[in-house]
Amino acid sequence: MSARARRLGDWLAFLLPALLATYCGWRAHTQGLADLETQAAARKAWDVFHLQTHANLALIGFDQPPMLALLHVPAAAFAPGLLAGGLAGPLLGAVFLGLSAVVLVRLGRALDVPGWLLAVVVSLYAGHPLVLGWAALGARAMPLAFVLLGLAASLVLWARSGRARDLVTGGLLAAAAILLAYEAAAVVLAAAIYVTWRSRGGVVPGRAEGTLIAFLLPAAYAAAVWVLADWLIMGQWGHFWRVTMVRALTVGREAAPDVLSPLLTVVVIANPLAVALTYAHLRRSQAPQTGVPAVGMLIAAVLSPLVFITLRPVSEDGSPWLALGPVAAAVVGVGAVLLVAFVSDIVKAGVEWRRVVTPGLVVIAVGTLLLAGDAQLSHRGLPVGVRSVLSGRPAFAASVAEEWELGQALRRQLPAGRVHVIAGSRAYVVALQARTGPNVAVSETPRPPADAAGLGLGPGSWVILRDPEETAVARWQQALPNSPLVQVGGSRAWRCYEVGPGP
Amino acid sequence: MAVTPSEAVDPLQFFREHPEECAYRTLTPPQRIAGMLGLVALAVLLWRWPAATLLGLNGAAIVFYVAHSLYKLWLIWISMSRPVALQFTPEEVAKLPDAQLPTYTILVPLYREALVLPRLVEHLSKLDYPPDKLDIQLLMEEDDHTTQEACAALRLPPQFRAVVVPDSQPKTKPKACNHGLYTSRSDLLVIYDAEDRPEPDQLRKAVAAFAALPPQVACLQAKLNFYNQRRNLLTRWFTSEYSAWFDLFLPGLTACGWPIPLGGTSNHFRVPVLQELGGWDPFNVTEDCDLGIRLHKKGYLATMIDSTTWEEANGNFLSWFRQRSRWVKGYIQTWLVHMRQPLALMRQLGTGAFSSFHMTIGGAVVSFLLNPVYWLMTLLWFLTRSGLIASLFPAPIYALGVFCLLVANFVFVYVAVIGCLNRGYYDLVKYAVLTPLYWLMMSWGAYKALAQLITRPHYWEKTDHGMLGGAS
Repeated sequence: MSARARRLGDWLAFLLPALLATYCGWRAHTQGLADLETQAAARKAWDVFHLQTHANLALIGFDQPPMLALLHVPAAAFAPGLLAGGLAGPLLGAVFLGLSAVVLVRLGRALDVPGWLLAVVVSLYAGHPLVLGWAALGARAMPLAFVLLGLAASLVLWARSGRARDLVTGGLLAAAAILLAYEAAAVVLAAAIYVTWRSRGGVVPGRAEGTLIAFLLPAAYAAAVWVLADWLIMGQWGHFWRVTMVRALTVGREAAPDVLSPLLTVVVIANPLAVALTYAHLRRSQAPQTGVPAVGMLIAAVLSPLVFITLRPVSEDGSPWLALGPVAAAVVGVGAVLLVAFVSDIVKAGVEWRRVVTPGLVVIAVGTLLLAGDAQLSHRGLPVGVRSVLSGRPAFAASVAEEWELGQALRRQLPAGRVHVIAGSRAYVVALQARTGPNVAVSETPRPPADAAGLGLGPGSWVILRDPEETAVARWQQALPNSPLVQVGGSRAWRCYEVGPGP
Repeated sequence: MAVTPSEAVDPLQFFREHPEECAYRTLTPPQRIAGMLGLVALAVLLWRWPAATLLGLNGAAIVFYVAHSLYKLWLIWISMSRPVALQFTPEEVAKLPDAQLPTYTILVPLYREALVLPRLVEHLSKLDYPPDKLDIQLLMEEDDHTTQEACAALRLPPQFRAVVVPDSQPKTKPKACNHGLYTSRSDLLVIYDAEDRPEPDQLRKAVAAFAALPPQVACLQAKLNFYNQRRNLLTRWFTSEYSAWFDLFLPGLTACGWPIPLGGTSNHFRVPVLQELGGWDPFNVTEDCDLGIRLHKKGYLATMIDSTTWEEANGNFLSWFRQRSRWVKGYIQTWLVHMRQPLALMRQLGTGAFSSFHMTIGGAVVSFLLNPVYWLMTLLWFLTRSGLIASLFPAPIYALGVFCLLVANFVFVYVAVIGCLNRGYYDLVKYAVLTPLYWLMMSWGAYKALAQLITRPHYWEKTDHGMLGGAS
């Protein structure tokens, strides 16, 4: 294949899925649907440049892994309108979907997979309702799926060629993975074990040590910078960890009494071939098993919730997809690499394809496919189908039309020269649309902070609360004992109160 | 063997024939005027609009950092993506019939190198090339009696020739090399340093490469690396730097068809082309780097060949410091010489190569000089949270600055790691992680170079060889 044809193939692989995701994202946007976490990340990136007189990177916050907000920082600096309009996330998602497709195509090409088979694999990946939905919303799982897919592909290529470039690429992606989701540390650990195992022995001094350092250096650097930033800014080395744990343990934790069952559901539904592909690469066999470097990563990702389950809040309806999002991203992303490697093994085996496609493998594949089909029929499967995503209604999308409307209204009406508060689970969405400045405090909880008096609220200030229970309003009133809160407006879920003059 | 001054050649022929390309004058009158005007303008701007001027300077510096970082990363990525250096198997090299091999001149400039002379002769004697087609010139300065005596005491094989370069100023390596070049009658020519150990089949590989390449390719640069890399921390750092430079960065430049700053040794030339160019600038203390640019200006190309010459890494800090400051001084000289007529240079090089020239030659110097300023500024920011520093970083500059601080700095450390990994120096990887300390030393050297450019522009800081013994 000529270099020009390769370039054309890469561009097509990038553009087709990216354009599809952009279309889906646009449709979701026009229906007022968005991913709440992405909107919050966009708002934090906005804060970096627009909250204080001088830019301050510390404002990306420490309550979430920072990479999603960091990905929005360039848009906050160079295209703030795009960011505040809520479109930066979906565009980023589309880019990551396109990049994932390019990685798969390049991997397949390196492994001599015929073009038409590659096209099938890429279509399965890009057309997966979960993946397309993540891309359309710019959800954290999309860049995570990309970096895990890229890491797995890099290791597969490094195992074949020993090229420094592949190891280095894998190392950089490992760092990105950890900054996207702390759970990915398990996947990186599995990859590091494989790298050490693969480079052991030989006559060259320090081979395993040097290779491991080179692979893990970016991840170690990223972690060190994050911890150092914690210490410099928050005054505590492990502040990010404590915040993460507290947040996970306080949001909907009681809805997830069991880990194993939802875990199996997510694995089988997200990628019905994952179990079979793992088996294909682990069994003792004379057949080529190109994807072996990625198998450990997949297993680690699946097992990680047994250790890390408390890292993520489960959703209010008890659905496992939010808490196990990183697992789903790994199963789909790494699974795609395993699929390409498996197809390559079949192609290489040629007439001896039965050495690769064994009866045991077929039984496992059919079994998991049946399980997935049964779950789908009994409404325990994928949250939405691909048609739903194409019509702009991806899974996990929240309707934020009301927040956007409120934000735009606040942008015009919020009294200047006063301090205000927006509090509640979607406060960041409102604040992003309102493009509020340093005079507006944003909090994810409707309750007033312990030092509410220090916020500087006074006559003329607004307190904007989402779904305010009586107790929440009463607590705000208690926090401002000498100034009555007077409701001045609101919508279905939001109430605006103005702080009245004191006695 | 008696050593006598050789035939008279004009050591300043290059200066007389190409004064416009010679570093004899550091600054031409128009450059002086432009420099003065620039400084005056800057002073006026700082006096009238200090905040805006500082902001503009900071913005320019940050944009430069980002561009320089991305440029280097791009080149390294290219060279990691595909093999760039010309490669030949031992079988292909062995197939070349001796009778068809061209004549080869090897120039070895020697100054106070009596200590390493026996080993030099031993290693050059191992070259796999017919002796009757070799003309190895040991170029010694007339006043360097020690080396001459050491040479006279040796039983030199017939392919070696002791050549005494008549005493004259400037006393530089390029002047000695020109002496050898002007009297050369060979087809090809290569330079080695006194402590060099080229791979035995390097000349044959170069012959095969020249035969396979178009005549436009006038120079082949072999990779340089060190045989004493594990001697101490400095040699380890130096090795990681060389591994990244010669194995990753220079191949990236050649892949793009841009001029490469030649290394001081193991450059193989087509002799007629080199003679057409007038040889080396005797007043430039990085004559190799300068020649790489001049080749490109005349429409010739230099490329890399996959063969290594093993050198001695400078393991003594003071000696390393002198060598580094000479290199940086030479880079500044080279940049100033070729920027005497910037528009003509852009026409001759083309836009891409012109930009690359600035990034590689000028950019290296600027980053060495700027680094301490930004390290200090970062430190001051964390210590004082100064509003003045914060005011220099509005949103876009801040974003780019954070990229430089957190990403680009790390990536340059990682490049040193990759250099070791790529060469198979796995045990050096952990030392490469400490490279930022090495950058500090480089910046220090750059400031010395800047000072010396003003006080002693043509002074050649001699690098001592043979201080660390043999291979490790």
